[in-house]
Amino acid sequence: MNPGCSLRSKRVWLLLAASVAASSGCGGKSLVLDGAPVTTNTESPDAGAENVVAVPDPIMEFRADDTRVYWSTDSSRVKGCVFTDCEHTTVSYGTTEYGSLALGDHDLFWTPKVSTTTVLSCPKAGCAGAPTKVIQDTNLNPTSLTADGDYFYWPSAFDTYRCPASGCGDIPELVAKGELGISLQFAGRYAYWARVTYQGTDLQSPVVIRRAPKDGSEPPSTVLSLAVALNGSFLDFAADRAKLYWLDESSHVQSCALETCATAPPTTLVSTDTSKYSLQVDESGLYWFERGSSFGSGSVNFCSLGGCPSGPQPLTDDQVIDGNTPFLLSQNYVYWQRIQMLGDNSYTDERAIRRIRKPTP
Amino acid sequence: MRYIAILVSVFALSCARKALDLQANPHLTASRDPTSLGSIDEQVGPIAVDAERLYWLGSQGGYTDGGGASLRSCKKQACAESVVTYDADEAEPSANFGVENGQIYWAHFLGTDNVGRPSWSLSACPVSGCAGAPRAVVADVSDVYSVAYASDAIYLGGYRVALSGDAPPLALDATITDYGRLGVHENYLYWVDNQSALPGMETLHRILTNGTGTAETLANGVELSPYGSVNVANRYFASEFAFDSSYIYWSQGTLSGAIVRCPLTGCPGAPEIIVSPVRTPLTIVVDGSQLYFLHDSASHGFQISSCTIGDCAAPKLIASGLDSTNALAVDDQYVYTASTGATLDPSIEWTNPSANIRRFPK
Repeated sequence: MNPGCSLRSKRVWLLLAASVAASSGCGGKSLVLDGAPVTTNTESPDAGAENVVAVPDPIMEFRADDTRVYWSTDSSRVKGCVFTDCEHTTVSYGTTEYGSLALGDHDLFWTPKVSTTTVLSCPKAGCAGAPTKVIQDTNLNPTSLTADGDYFYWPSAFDTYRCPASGCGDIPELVAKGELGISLQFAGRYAYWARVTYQGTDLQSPVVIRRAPKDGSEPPSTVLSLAVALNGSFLDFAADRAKLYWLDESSHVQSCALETCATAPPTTLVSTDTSKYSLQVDESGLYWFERGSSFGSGSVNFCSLGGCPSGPQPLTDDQVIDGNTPFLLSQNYVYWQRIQMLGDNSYTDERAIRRIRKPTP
Repeated sequence: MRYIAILVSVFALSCARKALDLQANPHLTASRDPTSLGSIDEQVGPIAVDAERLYWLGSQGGYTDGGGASLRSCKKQACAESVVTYDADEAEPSANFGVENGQIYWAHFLGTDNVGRPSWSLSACPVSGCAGAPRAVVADVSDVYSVAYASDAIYLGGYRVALSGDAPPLALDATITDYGRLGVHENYLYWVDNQSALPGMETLHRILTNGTGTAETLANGVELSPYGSVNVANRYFASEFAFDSSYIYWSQGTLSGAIVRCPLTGCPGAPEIIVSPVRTPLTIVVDGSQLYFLHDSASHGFQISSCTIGDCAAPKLIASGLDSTNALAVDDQYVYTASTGATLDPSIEWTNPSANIRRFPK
């Protein structure tokens, strides 16, 4: 164990003790350490994992590019830093209620604590003055924000809209009229989403994957209609410029060419039966999360687009991973977060954002 | 007697605070501003107007904290000296009201049964004041999601309740399970449902109000205001239907919204667009050839604009910074509304539990 690790361990215990002493009915898990330094630690229990950004507060959500990481915390703060020197580069963007973040090419988006129907933006490096008000919409879902390029995208009422980071006028750009973009994602010139129906609160089959140009210049079209067995969970899918990928009811990864999805049978790319979550794709391969047997454990796995006949490649060695976003991809890295577990299977409030360079297929 | 019909939705019931917290009646302060009837320390909306009086539902706690609501009126001339409160111990935040033949009627939420069906009672008072307990028109009608007021009856969902109170509720052959999409015009009750469960794919129906005949389908693929657009910041829903002698009008309350119409006998194709795009149009009033509509704006809160039907490419802005999504009423001379006068903060919602009751020449 290196000196940095030893120091941090002591600090965690001190913080934990302080938290328990200061808690008031919150189970002793809520640290209020706003302003406490974010530390960088180079200790790496994962072979190949790079630095550690340690945040002394539970992370609600995080985003990352190759240079910076951004996170929101239980104490309603939105912060970010340069990953390789977080301790000296941390900036604060503002406050948030639900913690959801979206990352564009040049800007960070979030909803402020004082208005969950408003989206603000600031340049990635930090706000130069007041944040920009991007949109205000009473139909905004503040728990799931989405950005791509220099635009913020969101479903509202019956439609899906977008607005530049610099803000909209009264009428935002219409991406898809009559289409609620659920699980919005982007590849090439298209936005993709799932069109779902509910009976009461139960998701109904089929789930239809739709797409339209990001600028709304063409009407939406159906890529694939999936008659799926739904057990309360949502269909997990990803798209790149050529293909659509999804997890079927056996948690196998299927794919089809975008132009022939409706007519050609799908191709099975990964046939292992372990439950998979958060399927993502880049130009090299497929990534997904598999939960481990104990609380907070799990791993990120990889399979190249050409297939993985010898089995998926675990990228993290059963790392302790937590959160609604178990991992995310930047251009060259895979990021995840780790809980600081204690020996008695409890855990501290401290979180660590970690990353590893993407595999070479 | 001028007929007033106000649509109500009760979608927010589950979130509404049941216990009223009525403080002393807010004082309405007169103004020298000719466009102001006075200011009052409560959030105002919806509003209605007849020949003599202006009526409103006021929320002392403001919309955002679930405060109670009171039904009030004042004379259009000398408003500050003539304020009447009708239901100081009864009003529910989601209640709405109608005025006819010198009486004011309002629905009172009773609660939900064990499967979540809401029940309502109906009360009435003379518009000049209750002078005692309100008259109970109907004690309890269950499974009601929407209320609409007409000249001789009130419609609690698919039940027609005679204002005279001398007949039991008449169940129409109309399955109305949706919220806040109910309107009455002449001999028909109009409503929408959404059997497809797809957003924006509702169907517009009508049925004779005398209980004869079956429901007609007037239009499919109808988009009305989604609940969230008026439920988050405002508990009271917009009046989304308006009528003239030939058409039913409604607002498609989306960010790139529209106000559209169909013939009363049904739409042969897509609804005719009167004005579009409009940011979240909500309450609408058709007054002869003029359309008045309340809509959102990105930087000045809710606004009221108007145009001539058929020539609505450049609507005229009448008022900004409104106090609610349904503070719009029109009489022969004026457009009535309520504004907050709040200072705009670009990062917060437009909420301020005080209102300036305004009127502008038509």
